Amino acid sequence: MGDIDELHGLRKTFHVGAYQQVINDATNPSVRISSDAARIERKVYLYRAYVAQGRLNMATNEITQSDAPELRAVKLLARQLGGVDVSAEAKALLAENPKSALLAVLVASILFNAGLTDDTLTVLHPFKKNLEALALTIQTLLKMNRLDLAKKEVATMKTWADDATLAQMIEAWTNLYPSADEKFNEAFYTFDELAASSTATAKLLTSKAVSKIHAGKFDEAEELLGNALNWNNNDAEALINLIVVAHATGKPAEVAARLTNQLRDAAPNHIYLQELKLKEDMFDRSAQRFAV
Amino acid sequence: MLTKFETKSNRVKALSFHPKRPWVLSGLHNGSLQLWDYKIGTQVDRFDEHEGPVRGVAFHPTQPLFVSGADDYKIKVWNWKQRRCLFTLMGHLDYIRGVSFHHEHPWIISCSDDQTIRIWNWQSRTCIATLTGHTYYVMSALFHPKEDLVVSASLDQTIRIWDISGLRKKHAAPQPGQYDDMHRHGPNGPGGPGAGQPDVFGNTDVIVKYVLEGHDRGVNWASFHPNLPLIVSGSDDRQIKLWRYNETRAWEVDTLRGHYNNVNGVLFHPRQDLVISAAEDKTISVWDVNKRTRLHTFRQEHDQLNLFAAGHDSGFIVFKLERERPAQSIYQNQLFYIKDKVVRMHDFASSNDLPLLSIKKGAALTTPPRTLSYNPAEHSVLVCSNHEGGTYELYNLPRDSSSEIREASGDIKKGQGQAAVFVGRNRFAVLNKQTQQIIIKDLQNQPTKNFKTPGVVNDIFYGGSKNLILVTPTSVVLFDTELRTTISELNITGVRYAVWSPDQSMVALFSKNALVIANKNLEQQCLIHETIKIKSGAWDDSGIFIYSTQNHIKYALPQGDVGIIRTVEQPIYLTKVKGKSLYCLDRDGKIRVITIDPSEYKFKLALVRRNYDEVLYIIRTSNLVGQSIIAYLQKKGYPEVALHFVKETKTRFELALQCGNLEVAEETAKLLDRDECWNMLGQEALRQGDQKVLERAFQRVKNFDRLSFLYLITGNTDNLKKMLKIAELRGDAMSRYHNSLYLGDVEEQVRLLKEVGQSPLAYLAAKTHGLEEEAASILASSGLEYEPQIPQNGELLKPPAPILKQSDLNWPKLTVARSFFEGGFQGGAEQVGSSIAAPVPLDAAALEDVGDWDADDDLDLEGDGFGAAPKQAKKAAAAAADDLGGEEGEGWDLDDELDLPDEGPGFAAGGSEAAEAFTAPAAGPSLNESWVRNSQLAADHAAAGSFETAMQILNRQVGAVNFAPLKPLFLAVFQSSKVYLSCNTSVDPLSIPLQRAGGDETRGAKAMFPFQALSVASMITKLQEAYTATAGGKFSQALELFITIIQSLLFTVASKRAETEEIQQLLTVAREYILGLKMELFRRDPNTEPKRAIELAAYFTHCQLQPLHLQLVLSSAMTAAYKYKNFNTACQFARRLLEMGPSQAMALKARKLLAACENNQTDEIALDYNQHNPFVICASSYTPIYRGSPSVACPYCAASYKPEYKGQLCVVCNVSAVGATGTGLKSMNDGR
Repeated sequence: MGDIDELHGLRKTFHVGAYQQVINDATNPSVRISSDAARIERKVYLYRAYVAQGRLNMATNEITQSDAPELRAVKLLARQLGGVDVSAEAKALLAENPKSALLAVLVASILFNAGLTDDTLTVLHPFKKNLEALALTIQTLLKMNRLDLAKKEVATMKTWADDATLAQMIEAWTNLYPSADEKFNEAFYTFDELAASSTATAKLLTSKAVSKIHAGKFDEAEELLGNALNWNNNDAEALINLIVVAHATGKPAEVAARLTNQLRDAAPNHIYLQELKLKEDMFDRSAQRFAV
Repeated sequence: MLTKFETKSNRVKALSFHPKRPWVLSGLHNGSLQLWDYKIGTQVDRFDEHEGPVRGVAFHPTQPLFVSGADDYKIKVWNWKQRRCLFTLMGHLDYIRGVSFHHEHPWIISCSDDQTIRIWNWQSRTCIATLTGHTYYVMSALFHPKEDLVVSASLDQTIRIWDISGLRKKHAAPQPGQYDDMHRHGPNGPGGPGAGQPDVFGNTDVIVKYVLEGHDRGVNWASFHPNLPLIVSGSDDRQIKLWRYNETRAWEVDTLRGHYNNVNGVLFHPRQDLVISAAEDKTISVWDVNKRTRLHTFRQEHDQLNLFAAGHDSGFIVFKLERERPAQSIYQNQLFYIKDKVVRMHDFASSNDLPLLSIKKGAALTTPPRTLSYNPAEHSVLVCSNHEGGTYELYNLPRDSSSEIREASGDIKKGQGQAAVFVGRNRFAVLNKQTQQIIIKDLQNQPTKNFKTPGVVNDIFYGGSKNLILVTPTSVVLFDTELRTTISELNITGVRYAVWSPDQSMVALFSKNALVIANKNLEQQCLIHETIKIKSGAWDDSGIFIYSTQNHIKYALPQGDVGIIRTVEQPIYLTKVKGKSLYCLDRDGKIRVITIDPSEYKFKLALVRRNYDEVLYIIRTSNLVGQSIIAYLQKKGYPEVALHFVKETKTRFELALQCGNLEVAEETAKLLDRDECWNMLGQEALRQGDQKVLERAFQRVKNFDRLSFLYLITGNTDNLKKMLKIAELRGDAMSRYHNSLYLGDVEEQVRLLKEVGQSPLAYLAAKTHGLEEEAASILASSGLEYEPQIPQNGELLKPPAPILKQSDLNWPKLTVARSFFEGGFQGGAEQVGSSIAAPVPLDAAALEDVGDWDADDDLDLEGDGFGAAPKQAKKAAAAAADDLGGEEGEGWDLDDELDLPDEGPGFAAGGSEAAEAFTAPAAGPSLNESWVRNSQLAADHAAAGSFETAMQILNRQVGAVNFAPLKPLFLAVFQSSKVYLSCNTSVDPLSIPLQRAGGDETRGAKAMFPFQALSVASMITKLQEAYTATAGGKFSQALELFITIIQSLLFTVASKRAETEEIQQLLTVAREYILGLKMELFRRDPNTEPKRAIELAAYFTHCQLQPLHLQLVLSSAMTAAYKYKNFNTACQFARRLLEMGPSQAMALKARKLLAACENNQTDEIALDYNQHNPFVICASSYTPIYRGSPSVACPYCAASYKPEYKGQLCVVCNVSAVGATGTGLKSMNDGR
């Protein structure tokens, strides 16, 4: 039992998306962390939680050039989310410290957000045994529609990291991606279990809802998403999925429109809105061609 | 063996169970009888009349009687209700070994060391037969439970079976000759005339049927099998023998060897094929299943409860062979349990009960399963039993539920362990008690982890995901299996079960006599002690724990309040509580539903949670009354609530005082009208500063002094004066003096003092107040010889004049918190009306508003509109199938073009992955691309975001040119085609495409298409709305709805062939209504000239509408025509209307109109309308296009237009160009 990971709980909390609790735990002075590395990591999670909550200034203001490279990467991530292109800086930072998995994950996140999927995978490649790196790898693969490769990775992962929270989530993600063998229910139970074992978070509830949507159970999904919004009324993914549910359950058009506006308010730069804008423009252009 | 009860006493020689009550009667060596209740473990009674050891006792099966026989040669019959011995039967000449009742006749059988067996009639209190033949002590004699047989065992090494049918015949009819019997048999003593009872004429009542020889030593016990012709006997030769008999003979069947010493007692299990024996080797053995424990001596089973009792030299025990608690597990609305070695599922919602899986092959064959753990994700169960010291088995349940029972197939995954529970979706934990290890295994039964328990662990329970509750002898521990650390620990001894609440937030842990409710972190919320064993429990949805004890169903609130819901006769095992229904399993594994009244605990819970709205609601609606609830409320500090339950005045008064409700208190005090009440009220009023009430209270009790003082301090001089008067009338000098003193009325004081003959005082008073004249006159009249001395340093006592007359106002009152309830109850009647009853009439009104045709409408629609559809569809389906071939070749070259990027470079790159330098794999083809490639539907292209191709398709299929109004639809379809999943933190979410369920019926699972929100069903719902709006006369709203429908139909995807037909029908319906409604709106424009108006109304009647709508349209057209004196046309409409069989009002109107126009069938205005000449209406100009005239149509909605409108935008659907060509809308992908 000797090798108990001091940050196990914190990591788990972070992965299920209970960011406020991460902040509370990571700033709890009564917890003693023995090693320096863990202390830095704890700080990294703290700032990542701030960033995840959208409190970007906490990271950009408090992290200085003298801090650990991982922390500086968090700062870069915060700046990127604030609308600055930091890809080059991130790559440079990684080049200085090529051994840190955590740094690689952070840099890869930045590259992923910048749309550089190839670079993301390249950066993550040396850290196949790090769950967070793997998680991002798999998300990238899914984004690239390489479900086949993602599944292969998951199968490998299950040989060494089956029980970890993140490992379960990774498997559930791949299960949610449509394929011949439908495993939406399995995914649902995974999320359900995680929500039961820790606190239910907007992230988990939304994930549960996504599985329900896949299974065609829109009413249940709607309830879950409603709950998710209770946890975080600005949860962008909950709002987006609620739009889908609104359409699917035949709600009046105003409902979807209101949700879209709510989303614009909550996350004006959300990729969903960007895409929507793109499609609207595209529609207008195409419609022009047919006009009488 | 499960020991239920144990006593310590003198040597126990005989035992008997009560047939119904949980009682055991024991006969002791010291001559006393003890009656024990083994459920609650107390001695009920004792009887000391025998002298010498009592060797036989028995309860009567129905009457409140029991019989005992002892070494004093006496048989005593007792009544346990009267708690006394009724009479004594004498006759035996030696120790009595056993006694028992006949199941039917009023007979007692006894056997004795005098070598006889006697049968007694306990009604006539006589011996009716003496059975002689044994040549040594008779150790046991028993009636057969059904037949006319007796079996006896004797130390003469034989067992005898006696036929008592003669005795029975004699006594079956009303007996005149009972005295004869007595005389006849009475003298028969030991050593009588051989086997049998010869009477005067040589007949015998009882004859020996068989003598069973085989035992080598004396036989101690012999008993019948309850159903089969079998006898079991136990002997001093240490053997147990089984005997069989028939009409003609009896023979030995088998011998059971194994006891090391004399066998004292032996009997058959009433329901199972088991023999239970007790021997002097201090064991009780169960044959078939060999089980050993200490003890010795004998006898008796309890046939209802599967209980056995055994007495020994220092008391007796009551035990049962195996558990009767059915193993069960609950998941949401389903209960999984094991009955008769079959795993069954019970659905509470539908009350379906299905056998799922037979587990006969497993360990359950020999040992009943102890626990069951269900895994909803995998639909599998873990069954634990005590087989081989603890075994668990893992079974997968069949997914599809059919009524057949299936055998567990393949290898059963099993292992050693005392307890096993699922801890996660794919993990379960097994406890090994011997090594004190917990092993986490996966579903393949492979261990993944294994660790030492933190202490001695006896049992494990589910503790939330990944956690376990470990039960140690003195505590329970919540243990994280992932971190292998203790999360928390709660000290409670001997926990036997843990029950989680449905939301997993609370857990109830109970041991035999204690119940602890804890939250999910195992922090104790309350501890409840029970004197009676706690059996089971279940959580109510509202967070109340309902539990059952041996004889009660009780509830526990989270803060520790308990109460009894009802009593139960037999132990039950609660499984679920839902509203008023309590679901439980009984010992036979049957599901029972018990209806309970939850209002009491709901009420208490609402109080505890301060949910006063609900409290109020329950008070009003339920019939909660009674002292207990009042006492409860008072005790818990809710007198104001209790107040509302109480009708009894005295209690009401006390409660009112307790909560400081002066109004109620005064009201009730008036009713009671007792001094002590008024005093108490006065005190409370004083405390609160309510002087008005105080004044009234003082008045009532005539407490003049205090009243005066009250007036004084409130400055109420007027009333003080009155008080003075009253005092005068009462002749109370003291009071008068007081009052005058309070008033500062010196004259009065002086007068009073004079009156009472206190001249010196009167003089002093006058003198000190400067009333010199008065003083002088007093001095003179009183004849005082000397002038009283006026003391020095005196001060004048004069009450200050009140500055502020506050007599009418109450003083600053103590603020008494007005509780929620007082307001609630004061408003009582009205509030009930408004808050609870109101919604009902409102709803009713709303329904009425919508009108009476509405209801009919819906019916009509289904009947006329779509009822016929399936039939048509079938015919059309064949036709459509024929069409397909032709269509295929026409325009779908697109498919081929897009087939190209199919394999993509991704697969090529796959191989290079292994290369040293990492090369990122290329992106795969997105599902969007495959949708676009595979689908011929505009909806699917739009969903894929390929708006351009979607538009091309629509243009080609239905000649669509105006896409602007479709923009929301395009976007909606696009939006609902994928969900977003947030994966890694601070990284853009993953968009996951959403696919249609089941693909396409013709193409198998391979072809995937995007999910489409618009379905035929949703369109029909919309149509209903539109119909309702039409019927309600909301024309513009209806028009909008129909336009939405007609445009949405472009993106509606049919899931089966029949639906494509329905889509076409919907399209026609929408088109007709849009056209009609547009004309109607135009007609209603005030600028429209009369001629045009009538024409439009007339044309509208030619749209294909629902009959009810058409009636409305005809009616309005009729009215319009009549208004403009076009009587002939009006008559035409009226006739058409009447033909349709309209509502009475409408018919009446039409008939009236017909009657009015009968004589004047002319038209004022010449119309462009001829009802007999078939026509369609030009959708743009609203003019008729008679048959044969040239026309063009919209390629989508097929609305007709005059030729000059060709090329223009269709005004009906607002999408397509009139006269353009189209291949027709596709709502479904073809099979290829």
